[in-house]
Amino acid sequence: MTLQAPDFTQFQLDRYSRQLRLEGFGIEGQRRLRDAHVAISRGGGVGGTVATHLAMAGVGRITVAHGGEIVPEYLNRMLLANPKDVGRPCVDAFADSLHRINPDVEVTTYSEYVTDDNVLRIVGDANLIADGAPLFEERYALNKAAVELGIPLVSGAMYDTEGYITTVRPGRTPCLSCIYPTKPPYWTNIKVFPALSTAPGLVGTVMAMEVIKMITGFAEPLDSQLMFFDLRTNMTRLLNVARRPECTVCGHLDNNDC
Amino acid sequence: MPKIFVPTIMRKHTENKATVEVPGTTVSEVFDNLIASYPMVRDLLRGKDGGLLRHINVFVNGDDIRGLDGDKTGLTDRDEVHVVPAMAGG
Repeated sequence: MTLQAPDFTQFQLDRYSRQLRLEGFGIEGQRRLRDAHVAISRGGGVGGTVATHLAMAGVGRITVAHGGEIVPEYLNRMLLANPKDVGRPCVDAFADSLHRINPDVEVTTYSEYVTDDNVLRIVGDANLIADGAPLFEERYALNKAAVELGIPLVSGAMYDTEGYITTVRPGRTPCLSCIYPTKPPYWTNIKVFPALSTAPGLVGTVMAMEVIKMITGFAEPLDSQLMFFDLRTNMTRLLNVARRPECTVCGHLDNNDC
Repeated sequence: MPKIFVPTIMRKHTENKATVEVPGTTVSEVFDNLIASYPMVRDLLRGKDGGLLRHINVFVNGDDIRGLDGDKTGLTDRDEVHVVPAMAGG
C-alpha cells in the first residue's frame, strides 16, 4: 500500500518509509518531527551524533551551538567533521554535513559555546534541548534554561568507555542538578576525558532516540532513569534517580509542571 | 559478598578491576573495606569529613542510596553496588 500524505513529497515518504512502519510512530510521528525545533549544545562526539540521527529522522529545525574551529584531535569521534574541515569554524563544518544528510532540515548555528549569559538566546525558541557539552558549566546552564522554559532536556555524557543518559522533564523528573548537584573538582577543561568514537556515539544515539520519543510520544522515555553503560565490560544498567526537594534549580516546581 | 562496580576513573587504583567483591553489611562498610584494600580510592570516593563526595552517586541494585538509608543502606551477599561519578564528556 502506498502511503498518501499531501504535506510530504513522495521522496520524503520514501525516505522515511522504514520509520513510518514503526508501531506507534506513523505519519503523525513524522509530522511532529518535521514541526519540531531541537537545540543541541555542541556538535562533537555526543552532540554531533544526536544531530546526525535527528537529521536522518527528519527533525525540521536543528540549532547547534559550538565555538572554535575544527582541529585534528576532533576527528576520532566527531561524525560531522572530516580532515578537510580542519581550520574551519566547527559550526560551518557541522552545518554542511547536516545539509548533506538531509537538505530538508533547517540548520541554525551559533559559533559560540553556551554560557549562563547566552543560553536563553540560543535555546529560547526550541521545543527541546539536547546536551552534549564537555563542561559542567555549560550543562548546568542548559539545565537551568530547560527548567526556566519548562521544556525537556535530554542529557548524555561519557568518560573513557562509560556513559549515561537521562531525560529531564522539569517538575516531573529529576533535573541534572538533582542528580549531580556539583561537578567533580578534576573536571577543569575539555581535555580531561579520554574517548574513542564509540562511547560518545552510543550516548548520542540513545539521546537521539530520547529526543524522538519526547517529540513524537512514541515509545518509553528514560523518565527518572539513568541509562548507564561501560563498553569495556559490556555492562548496562537502568539506574533509578529521583528529584531532590531541596534542589536549587527545580525544587520550587510542583510535580507534573512539564 | 556484595559486588562493587568500580568506575573507570577509579580503576587505576583497583589493579584495573572493574568489579570488586568486598565484605560488609552496609554501603559504608563495603567502602571501608574497599579503601582498606585500595587506599588510593579514598580521595575519589570520600571527602575530608568521611562523607561521600557530592559528585558521586551510589546505587544499590539500581536504586540511589539517597532514597534508601544513604551509606547506612543494608547489603546482602548478592547485592550490586554501582559507583557512578558525574561525567561531562561529549
